Formats: sequence, C-alpha cells, structure tokens
Amino acid sequence: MSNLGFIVGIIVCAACILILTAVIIKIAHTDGQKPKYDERQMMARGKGYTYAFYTAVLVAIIPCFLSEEIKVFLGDMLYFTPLLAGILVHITYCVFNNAYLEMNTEPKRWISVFTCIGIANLLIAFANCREGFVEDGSLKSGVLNLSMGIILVIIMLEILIKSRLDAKEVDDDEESEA
Amino acid sequence: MKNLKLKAARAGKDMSQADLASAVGVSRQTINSIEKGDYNPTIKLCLSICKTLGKTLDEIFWDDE
Repeated sequence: MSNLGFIVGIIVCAACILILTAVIIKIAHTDGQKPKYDERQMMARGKGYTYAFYTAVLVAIIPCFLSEEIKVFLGDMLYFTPLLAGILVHITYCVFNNAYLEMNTEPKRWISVFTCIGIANLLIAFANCREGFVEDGSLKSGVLNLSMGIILVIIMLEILIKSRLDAKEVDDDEESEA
Repeated sequence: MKNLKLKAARAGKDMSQADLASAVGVSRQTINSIEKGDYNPTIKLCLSICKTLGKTLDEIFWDDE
C-alpha cells in the first residue's frame, strides 16, 4: 500500500513539474506580445535576482551558527526567512531601479493591491496570534503572515517613495528644458 | 558621462522624455538613465532613438573627447 502511495506521489510530482515546465516554456516563447520590460529593466531585474540569490544563500547559512534552542524557537521561520529576505532584496532593488513594475504601468493600482494583501496578511497574523506569537517554545505559523504583511507594506512604501521621486525628476527635467 | 546631445536632439524635436520613450518602446526612466549617462543602451535601442530623432549614431552617441 505504501509502495503504491509512493508511486502515485512520484507520478503526481512528475506531472506537476511537466505542467509547470510547459507553462514556463509557453510564457517564454509567446511572440507578438508587447514587451513588458525594456532592455534596461531586464538587466536591472537580472542584477536584482543575483543580489536576491546571494542574500538568500547568506541568510540560509546563518542557522549553522545558531544554538539548538534558537532553532527550535524559530521553527518554520528558519526555512522561510531566506526566501523572504531574497524576495525583499529583489523587489527593493528592482523598485529603486524602476524595474519592478512593467513599462508605463500606473503605480497607484499596485500600491492599492499591495496595501490590501498586506493588511489581509496582518489581520490573519493578529487573528492567529491573539494569545501571543509563541506556542510550545516556538514561533507560531501566524508569524509568517505577519512577516508577509510587513514585507508587503514595505514594498508599498518603496513604490510610493519611488513614484514621488520620479514625479519630482520629471518636474526638474521639464524645468531645465524650459 | 551625461549625454547632452541626446537631450538637445530631443528638445529640438520638442519631445519630452516620455514622448521619446513611447516612440522607441522603452520606459521614460530608461531615456532618463541614458541622458544621465547611467545606462549604455544596446545598438538596437541607439538606432531606434536615432531614427526617431532623425539623427545619425555619430551625432548622438559619438563621444568627441
């Protein structure tokens, strides 16, 4: 019985990988669509991914130097922290290099989307952790929602700051041409 | 190094950064980065900018110094 379960698991896993690969190939080879990012943005995104990768690797190494008690206390966050750090670095780098939002995209829409998702995550976190963020000596899973909520609020603020800086840059440019 | 030739050619055509960006299919910030000298465009984008502004590559992108 357990053998059958194992085989079914392998088949389902292989099917998922095939479907995911097909979707990625389809997206990568879609012709005739307007490009979402220009060449400078693509380059900046590439650098952003590089910095995010190294950040994730460095953060993932940190637990090697932590004591067992701290590892137990961190619980699932031990595995999610490198991902969150990588995501935050990538998005921050891309936002401040105008490479996060697609070409000529209105930032207001994304600010509202990030605000809504961020608030939803924070609400879930506080609902899950009304009696504290620690249970049986380790962090509850609600802390992940809290982290996501905080990251989304940070992203929203970054986009807001960058759009203000860009607006100022346009004003300065128009003034210098006048 | 700032690309003042591009800025002058664009102003000569009475185009804003956004107008030029839209004409060549890039973001306004990319044109701004090229003018500020923060980004070196590919030859494909250089040609596209030159064609839009009615200039040659030498006139806009050749460094005299």
